[in-house]
Amino acid sequence: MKGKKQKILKGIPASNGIAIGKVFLLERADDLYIPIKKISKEEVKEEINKYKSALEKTKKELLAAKERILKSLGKQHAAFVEVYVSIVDDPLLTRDVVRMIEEEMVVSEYATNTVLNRIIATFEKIEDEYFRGRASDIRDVVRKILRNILGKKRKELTNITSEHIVVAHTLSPHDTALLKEKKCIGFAIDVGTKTSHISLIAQGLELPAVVGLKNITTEIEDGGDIILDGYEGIVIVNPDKETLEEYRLKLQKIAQEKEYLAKLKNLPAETVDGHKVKIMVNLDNHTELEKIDLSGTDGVGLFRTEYLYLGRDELPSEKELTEVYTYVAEKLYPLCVVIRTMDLGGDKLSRFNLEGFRPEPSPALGLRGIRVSLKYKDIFKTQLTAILRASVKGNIKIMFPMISAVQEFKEAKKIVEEVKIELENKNVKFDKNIPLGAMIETPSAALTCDIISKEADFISIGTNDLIQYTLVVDRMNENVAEMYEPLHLSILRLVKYIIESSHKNGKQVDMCGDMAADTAFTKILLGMGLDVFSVPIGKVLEIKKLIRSFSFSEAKELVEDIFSKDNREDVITILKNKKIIL
Amino acid sequence: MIEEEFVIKNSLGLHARPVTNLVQRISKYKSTVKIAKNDEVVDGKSIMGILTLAVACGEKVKFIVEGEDEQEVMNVIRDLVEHKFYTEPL
Repeated sequence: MKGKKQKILKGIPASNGIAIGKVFLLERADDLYIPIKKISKEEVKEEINKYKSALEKTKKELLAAKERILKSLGKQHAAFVEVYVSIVDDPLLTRDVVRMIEEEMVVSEYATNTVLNRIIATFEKIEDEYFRGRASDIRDVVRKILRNILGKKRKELTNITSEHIVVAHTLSPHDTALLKEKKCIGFAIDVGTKTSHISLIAQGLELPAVVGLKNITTEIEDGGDIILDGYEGIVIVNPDKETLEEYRLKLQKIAQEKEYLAKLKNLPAETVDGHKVKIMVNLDNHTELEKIDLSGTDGVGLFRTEYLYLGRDELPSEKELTEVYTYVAEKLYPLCVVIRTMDLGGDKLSRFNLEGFRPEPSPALGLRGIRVSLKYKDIFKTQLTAILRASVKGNIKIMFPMISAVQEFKEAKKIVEEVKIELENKNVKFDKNIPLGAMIETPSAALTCDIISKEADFISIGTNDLIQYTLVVDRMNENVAEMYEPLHLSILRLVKYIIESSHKNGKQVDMCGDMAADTAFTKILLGMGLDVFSVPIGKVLEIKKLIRSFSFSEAKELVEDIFSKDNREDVITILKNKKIIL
Repeated sequence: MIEEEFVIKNSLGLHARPVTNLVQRISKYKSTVKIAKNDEVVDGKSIMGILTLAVACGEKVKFIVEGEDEQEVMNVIRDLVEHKFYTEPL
């Protein structure tokens, strides 16, 4: 380290984490230099054979890697290798490269490289980031082929240890699987973007990584000291004493925080004086369930179903919906999922050619939420049938969006009863006591919640719309966006009234809007008696940590204190004094 | 020659995994397959070609199949599209 100057290389943060260690340099970009070389007519056949056996060899290597990944990472990641195999089989390589060798009489590595560059150029023009990012996967596969044509081997990864940070021009997903097996502590590569497979796998393995460094392989020495910062997307070469010390401290803090959060995960959301609430998660679609870990939560407090109706010309069938809801119910069991019935504006439904639907001058005040379902009963019934069919596979609750009067809730309930009878007649099993909840997101519903909560089995507060409709402010309209204020006394009063009037009827109250996930309101909401906080998955631990830091009695006092004030500024002063907000 | 238009329902569109399933299934057949989005046409047996179309969820593409087993190939394609290429739950 002596004498060498510290240097910071900037790349793209691909996977969070920090690693301090020694460089294991795998290969440099210029390791594969491919100049044009002509061949004679007689040599063409042999050259093609050489090329074809390189393709075969590459394919064999990939299939072997697939087996290894299947064992260490599972089916989902093994599917990535299938993608690689298909690239080797692509006619652009099996046909076009062969044609070029024949027609232009050049060596196969040159033909391969030329075709590769042409393909990459097409990809670079794509606007969509995901599709553009596939160029790095293609480059990766083709380099494997090139290496097999040239008979060049890469340095063996098997010698890595837990002190090493791998630096390479590129890494393939199956290289990454090996890195994990060998307990390497991170990697940095020249190519890649945030959405490259390699980055996604690194995130899955929780392996710190920086990609897109362009020329890190030429900037560093094998065995040298580096710091890899996956949060910032930087690599520090030859770090000086101070930097090293700073990063060691950071590493320590991360380890402590991780340990604490891991412990927190399995602890209940309980105040210091023993008042327990539930923390649930909001989900936008069922595919998220593959990626997230819901252990340590109380299930899904809001499962949005709109995506099942968007981006298509035909309405989803009962069968399709049943499969989705069944998947979700089974995946979550024994945890509960609250399925919100379709909450789309009428405008989104126009592509289905619904009878009697006319464009609306102000959709926010038009046909939306439960109103759509009550007007187009067939769509609603299909959804309810699917939910009821799935209800035997897990713990499902149904929730109706945008209830604005008790009549609407009663009408929706009646339709559920109709569907139940239809299913009974068909001898289909379903949960006869499936709970039905009302979403309170309009002032009219909030102020009559004492009546609605007699009918409903549970209440869920949707704060985003409740605030918008109470304050008459569209948050997306920059002229008035500043007036959007959850701490407006009217909002605090409405929320408190909803909770108290529902509790009087013995009903549980959930909240699934942004307010539930904002730490500025946690203590107030808990003090008002909120039973369930339904939040994005990333917020679960933060909210839980906060709840475990205070007592129910001080939260109740805070609410009393706030309600004794007659303006928003005083409320904010209280929150600032208590360091709840900055 | 037969052709048919489909709406892609996969949540991420025609991304790498569905395309892999598509080319693996139809490459065995003799017919040529072309895929068209707007004015762009690519080889339906080329994963890289199809990816350059960058087909998003809800977009329409046309499959043009020609050859002795064209009907069979179109049936396979229809089945794949309807089942989201067997890469995600329906």
